[in-house]
Parts: sequence; C-alpha cells; structure tokens
Amino acid sequence: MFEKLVVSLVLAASLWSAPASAEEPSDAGARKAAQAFDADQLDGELFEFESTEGKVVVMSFWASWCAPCLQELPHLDRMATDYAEQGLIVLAVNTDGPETLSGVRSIVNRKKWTMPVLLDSEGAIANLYNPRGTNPFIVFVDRNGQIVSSHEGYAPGDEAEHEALIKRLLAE
Amino acid sequence: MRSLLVALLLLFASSAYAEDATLSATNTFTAEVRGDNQNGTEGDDDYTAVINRLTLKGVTGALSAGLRVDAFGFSPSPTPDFEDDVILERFELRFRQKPWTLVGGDFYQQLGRGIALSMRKEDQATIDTTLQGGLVELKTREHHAAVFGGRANPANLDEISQHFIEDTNDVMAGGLYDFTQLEAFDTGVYGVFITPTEKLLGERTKQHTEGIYVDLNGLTKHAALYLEVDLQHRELLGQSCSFFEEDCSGKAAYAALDLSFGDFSVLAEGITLEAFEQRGSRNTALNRSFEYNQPPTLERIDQEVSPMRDVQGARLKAEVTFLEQDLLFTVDGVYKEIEPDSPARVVLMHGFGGGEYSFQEGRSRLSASSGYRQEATDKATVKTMVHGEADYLQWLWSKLSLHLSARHESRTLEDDPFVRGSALLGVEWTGLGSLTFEFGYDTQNPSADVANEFYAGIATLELMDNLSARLVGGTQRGGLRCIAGVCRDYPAFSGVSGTLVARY
Repeated sequence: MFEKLVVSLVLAASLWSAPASAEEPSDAGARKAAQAFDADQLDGELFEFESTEGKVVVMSFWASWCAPCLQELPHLDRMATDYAEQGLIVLAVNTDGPETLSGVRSIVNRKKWTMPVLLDSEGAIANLYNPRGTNPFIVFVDRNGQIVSSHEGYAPGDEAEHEALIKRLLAE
Repeated sequence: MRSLLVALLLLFASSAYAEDATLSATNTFTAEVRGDNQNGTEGDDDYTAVINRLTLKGVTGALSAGLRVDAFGFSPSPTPDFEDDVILERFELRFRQKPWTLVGGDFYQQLGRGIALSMRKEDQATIDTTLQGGLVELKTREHHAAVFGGRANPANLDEISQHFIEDTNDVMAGGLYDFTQLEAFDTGVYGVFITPTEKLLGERTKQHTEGIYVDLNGLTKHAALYLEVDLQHRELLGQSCSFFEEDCSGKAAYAALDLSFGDFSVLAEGITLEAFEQRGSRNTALNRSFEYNQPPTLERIDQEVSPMRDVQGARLKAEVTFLEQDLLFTVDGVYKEIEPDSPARVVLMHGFGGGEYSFQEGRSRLSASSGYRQEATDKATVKTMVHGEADYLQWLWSKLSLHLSARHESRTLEDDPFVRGSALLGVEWTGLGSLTFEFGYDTQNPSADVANEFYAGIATLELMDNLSARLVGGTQRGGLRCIAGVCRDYPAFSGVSGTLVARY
C-alpha cells in the first residue's frame, strides 16, 4: 500500500517542474485545448462555446456568497466592455447550487453586468476547467481556443495583471 | 481496474497520435501533522495524514477523457475508520458532436432546483458524489433532452473526518426534457428512479420521483418567476402501499419571484416539502443515509439548517443600492416550520440586515451585518442566536492590502448560553500570497479538557502561476458548521497542515 502511495506522490511531484509564470503566458506549443460546451444563460438563452471562435475568452467562476468573486467581477465586466471591439468575451460562470441559486439574478441586475452569466449549478463546466471547484477561479483562452493560464483567488491588484494579460492575448 | 485501463489507454493514445491533442493535470497534495485537538473526544488526535488528488484531462477534437486518482495514508491510524488507499476515484470519456453529447463514466447531474436530484460537487460542504454510468444529451436553442443511468459514486475519503466511505452502488436512472420558447419561457419535465443497495426493514427499497418546472425568466424587464412541483413514490421493504399513503409518498413545491426596479430589488421564495426525501444507502463515515437531493433552504449559506424533509417556509429579501452600486443595503427575513404537522413542530425565524460599501474603484470594501435567529417548539425555545459580522478589505498601495474579518454569535441552546466567533487579520500581496492570523473562541463546552480559545497562522504563497501553497499552523475551532444546507460536525484542528496545488 505504502509503495502505491509513493508512486502516486512521485507522479504528482513530476508536475511541479512545470514552466510558465503569471507574467509570461505559456508558449503557444504548451497551451491546452479548451473544451467546447453548451450552457444556459441567466436570461434563458443558450450559450455555445463555438460562438467564441477567433476571440479571446476569459471565464470567471463565481458564486453569490463569494465576496472576492463579487469584488473581481466588476473589473472583468468593465474589461468586457472596453475590449469587446478587439475581440474579448468575458463569461461569468456561476456555480451556485440550488440552495442559493435564487440570489444570483438580483446580484446581476443590481451590478448591471453586461457580460454573459452562465449557469453551472451541477458543475459541468467546472468539471472541464476547474476540477478543484474553487471560487473565484479565472481561465484565459487565446484566439485559437487554447488555454493560456488560470488563476485561483482574488486580491486587489489582480485585475491589473489580468488586464495586462488580456491586452497581450488580444495583440497576438 | 478495467475501467482505469480503458480510460488511461484512450487518454494517452489520443495524446500520442492526434496532432491537436493536449493533456492537462491538476494535483493537490496535503500533508498534516495533527496533535491533540482538545475537543473531548478520542480517535481524532496525534496522527499524520498524507492526501494526494491527481486529476488528468486529455482532449483531442470532439473526444475528451479524464480521470482522478486519490491517494491517502494515515500514520498511526487513530481508528479503523482511517484507511490507507490509492483509488481511481473518477474517470470520464466524453464525446461531443453538436447537438449531441455522450458521456461514459463519472458525471454530475441535477434536476430542477435540486429537490428531486442533486448529484454535484460542492467543495465548501465537502460534497462530491457522481453518477457513474452513461449520459446521452441533446441540446439545441429550443430543446434540451437527456437520459442517464448508473450507480452513485461518492468520493471515498470524507475530507472532514478523514474517515473512509464505502461505495454504496445505489442504482439510479432518469431523464429530462426542457423546452425553451422565445428565450423567456422555459418549461421542463423530469423523472428519476433510485434503488438503494442497502435493504433495511421499514426503509425504502426503490423510489421514483417526477417533477415539472416553469421558468419565466424574461417575461418583463423587471420580473422573473420560477415554479416547480415534485411528486415521489417509495416502496418499502416488507410493506405494500398505494401512491397516496403517507409512508410511501412525498410532495414538494418551490417558487421564487425576482423583482427588480432600478436600484431596488426584491426576492421572494417559498417552499413546501411533505415527507419528501431522496435517501440512499448508509454513508459509513457519517452513519446516516446519503442524501441525493439538495432543496433550496431559503437560508443564508452558513446557517444551521434542519433536515429538509418536512418543511414549509418563506423568505423575503430586499436590496437597495446607492452611489452607482457602490453602497448596498440588504434586509432578509426567513420563516420556516419544520415538521409542521407533528407535535415536535419547530418554528424558525431569522431576520438580518446589513450594508456594504465599495470604494477606491472597487479595490477596497467594508461590509457589516447583524441579525437575530430563533427556533422554538410549541412548548419552549430551543435555540436563539444574535449574530454580527464585519469584513474590511483595505487596499493600501500597489499590490498590498489589509484584510480584517470578524464574526460573533451569542447563542443559547435549551437556555444554556454560550458565545462563538472568530477574527482574522491578514495582509495580502498580489501575485505573492497572504499572511493571516486567526483567533477563534467557543464557550459551548466548559469542560477543562476542551479548548475554548484557538490561535492559528495561515500563509498562502503563489510560487508560480501553476504552483501555489497554503500553510496552516496552530489551533482552529471545530463544531457544527453548515454550508449550503449541509451541516457537518467539524473536528477542531491542532497541528500543522500544508497544501500544494500544481496545474500543468
């Protein structure tokens, strides 16, 4: 049994030699393909990931009870507007379960967000991109549909780094 | 093991032979040294734990594969409930060719608002049960249909108690059809059939649940309405009864109305559950049945919620904003009756309100709230709680910010008063991490061998974009904690814990 555990840990440890930093997006060759999905939006419309082809996509996983999420999303909504013409799409992927889902609409209305709000109550999108199920969690996808980087958590100032990365991806 | 081989073969074959194939991994490694947590109970002290969770995903065109391997070991094992193992916890093969999606292996499934079925991952509440089997789904702008079947597959390590959970193999099958009209009118029907593996006299041997919902999410600019009704029939071992007999049937209804007028919004919710349950076989870590549904609780996410089986209740929440949404005021009131037709009826009332102010272009915020909660039977008051919370995040300059968070609860339980709370003071440096000091207190158990005050240091480090660490040292209070309607008795923590998260 203990040998199995050691093998597992060695396999896991090999991952930690991975490259890339927050400031420098990974090389194009090292990027991972983003998986396509369909999801219901808060307004009832169907969102199809294929509709983002050729655009830079930012997915932000959030929940109504997550204070850092609610602090980060207004910055992302502002960027969605500022860089829309250059090809940016920001998706606010809501992960509220059925017990708190009813509070989502009032937040979106109150904040007057214009970015699409996707409902992922059962965790189908999180299963593809955010296997740890954390909030907030942000994923950056380039124009070729490749995942460039991801980031867990939010602290004031993160939005400046996110914006810098978005500008670089839009310029590619 | 056969499923592991198939999944691995497909995963790596796709990576090796397809030009557009990519492989990604997420690994979470935790090591803990636990001392005596002074909670007055044996069996959770003085041991070392090593837990690793590796998730791999491979994608090539329309096909993707994934697996998760959990490994855990304890030394010395405090009780036989702690087991060492390496387990293929999840595997999944997914094929998507619009409008079809086919899934074989582990997947999450929810019906309606979770009253009939909610198989999902809720990390905050350490819920993680999948359906292991097959799913066929059709999704277009107007139609959404799915059929699914398989066995319930709970994660085998209970992350709170760290006890081993045996697989239940409860069998489930179901389907749904949803029709969207003009993007404003959404209606659906669904059904699910469950057969728990464990057969106990007087308990159900199989149960089926059907439901229907209507979601009017865009009828007008200012209003949205959701309505759901569910009916259930259970067959009991050693008994036969008709659909209308109380022991064998359950009923549920839920409604939510959202009204929004500029800076003012109102949410009204109501729920009634009458002998409605979606229980499976016994959870060996908790010694109670798995619950495969998660109805709306009408409550704040952190409240101690009574079992949602026989409940009637309503909630009204109002919010108003000023200063271009930077200043928010909220009031929230909940009224619920638990087991309303029983002599043991409990009436719950909870009222609270607060405000939140965001400033410095959203980089800083201050929020505060307080309220009163009471649970009473016809004869006596069972629980009361006066609570207050405050959260202050101040951006200082550049990448540095200061975070202060505190909550206090003055409670009574059957007239015995006690206080409980915590305060956290931390500094956060964007891109580097954070350092936090935590103080907690809980006077519910005054015994000399039970700790009442807790001190801990928490450090988070962003070592690289794909590598982060979290270290906790000291003591943290345990007790009953409820998240998202799921209440668990957390053991107090004493010792050192380190977690490394790597993504590649």
